Amino acid sequence: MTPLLEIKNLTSQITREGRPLLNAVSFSLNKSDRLVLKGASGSGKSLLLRSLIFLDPLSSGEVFLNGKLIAPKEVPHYRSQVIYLGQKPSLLEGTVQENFEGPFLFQIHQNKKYDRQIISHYLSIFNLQDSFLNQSAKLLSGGEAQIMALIRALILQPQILLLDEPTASLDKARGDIFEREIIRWVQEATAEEQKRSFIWVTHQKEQALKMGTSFLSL
Amino acid sequence: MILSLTQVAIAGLLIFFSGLLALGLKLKITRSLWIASLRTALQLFMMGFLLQWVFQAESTLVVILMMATMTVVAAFTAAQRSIRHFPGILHNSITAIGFSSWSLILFSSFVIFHIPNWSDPQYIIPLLGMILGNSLNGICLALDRFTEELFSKRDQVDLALSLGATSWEAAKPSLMTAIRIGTLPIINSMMVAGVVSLPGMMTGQLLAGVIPIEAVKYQIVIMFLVATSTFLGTLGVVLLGYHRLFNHWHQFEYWKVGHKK
Repeated sequence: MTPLLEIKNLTSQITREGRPLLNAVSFSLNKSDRLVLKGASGSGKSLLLRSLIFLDPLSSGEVFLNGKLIAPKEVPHYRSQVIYLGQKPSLLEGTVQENFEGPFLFQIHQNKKYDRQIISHYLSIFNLQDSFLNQSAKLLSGGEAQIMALIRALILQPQILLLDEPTASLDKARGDIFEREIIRWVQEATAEEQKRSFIWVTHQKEQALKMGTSFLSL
Repeated sequence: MILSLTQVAIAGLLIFFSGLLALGLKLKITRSLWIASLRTALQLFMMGFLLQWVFQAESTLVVILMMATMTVVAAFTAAQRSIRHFPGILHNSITAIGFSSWSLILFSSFVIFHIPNWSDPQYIIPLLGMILGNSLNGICLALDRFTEELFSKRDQVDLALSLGATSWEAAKPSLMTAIRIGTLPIINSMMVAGVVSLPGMMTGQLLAGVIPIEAVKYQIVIMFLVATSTFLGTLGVVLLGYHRLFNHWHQFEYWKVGHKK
């Protein structure tokens, strides 16, 4: 079976004390895999996620999605399939709704439809009203911003989510919902052509055991 | 009306007394006011002698050397003023300023003014000086804003990229802001030309006795040349900067943008 995502010998250009922070990292991710990424602070977990989608410079390494080697011109399409959620979610200017609509203006998402109904569905899962859409993104709490970032990613229908300590700023109740939803999102992809998976970075042992089906230490 | 050196010196007295007044009020600007005035006089006299020599030399090579020096100094100034730097910024600045000013110089010499000998320094040097002096301002502002914008909005740029934007889509808001800021001064001065201020060149011509309508026609042409050159130079410097800071992996090379000096 061709892995959904395959990483070969990823070496970062970013160095610490003369050594690359990531040195020849290889692993693969199959359909429905839930990979938990562990490692001490500063071991390069965030860097690995950012390097995986070519936001940070690589000195060598290859990335395959569905068996296909990613070439430079396919990067935007690849990034629409493998979406990264940063530890501190970045916001586009404007309201929550504008944050949801913004990405649909990019050429890569041109044939996708912005669906208000799905958004309302996700909002209700997190016990949020539709009025949440009109809030200024800048004024959201850390946890609310993280939920917004998740919904913004999900409505773009990616295959893989890269989640960097996503529940760190959520309260217990919403953290639980977040975990449950992500697992459900992976499991509800049952059709043959529908493939979903995630990489989750966490420091909490308990969360690692709950979320992961496979584990990687840096 | 030909000015004597005495007349110039009398104007200098104005500065001398302004400095004394500032000194009396303890404003601490006297020193820089006097130095700046002295520099103005010295630099302009030196330029005058240099121009006189270039005019008499009647050598194409000398004219081209003079033009090249002026262009490089302008490009250097524009790049130097930018608060944040990146590798290749000076090279970009020379290319953008050189291309935008020289192409307009050639176009206006041949197509508008029909100067019989293009390398006649009497026309081409003042024309180049006027265009460089003005477009330098716009290019400098655009460059400064461009690097600052990308640096301070790195999160936004990375976010757009990580959601599938091409590097062009991710950089576009910053590029547009930089171009808008760079062309703002020249657009403003065209808006109020003749209403609030009489442009410098026209004032000079009027004082030298040229008929107002003739001076006006020249001024309009010059303004259009300056505006076009500013726009092309601004556009050029921003696009070249974009190519330096984004690569074909649709990656923003944020590590190239230096910290504030």
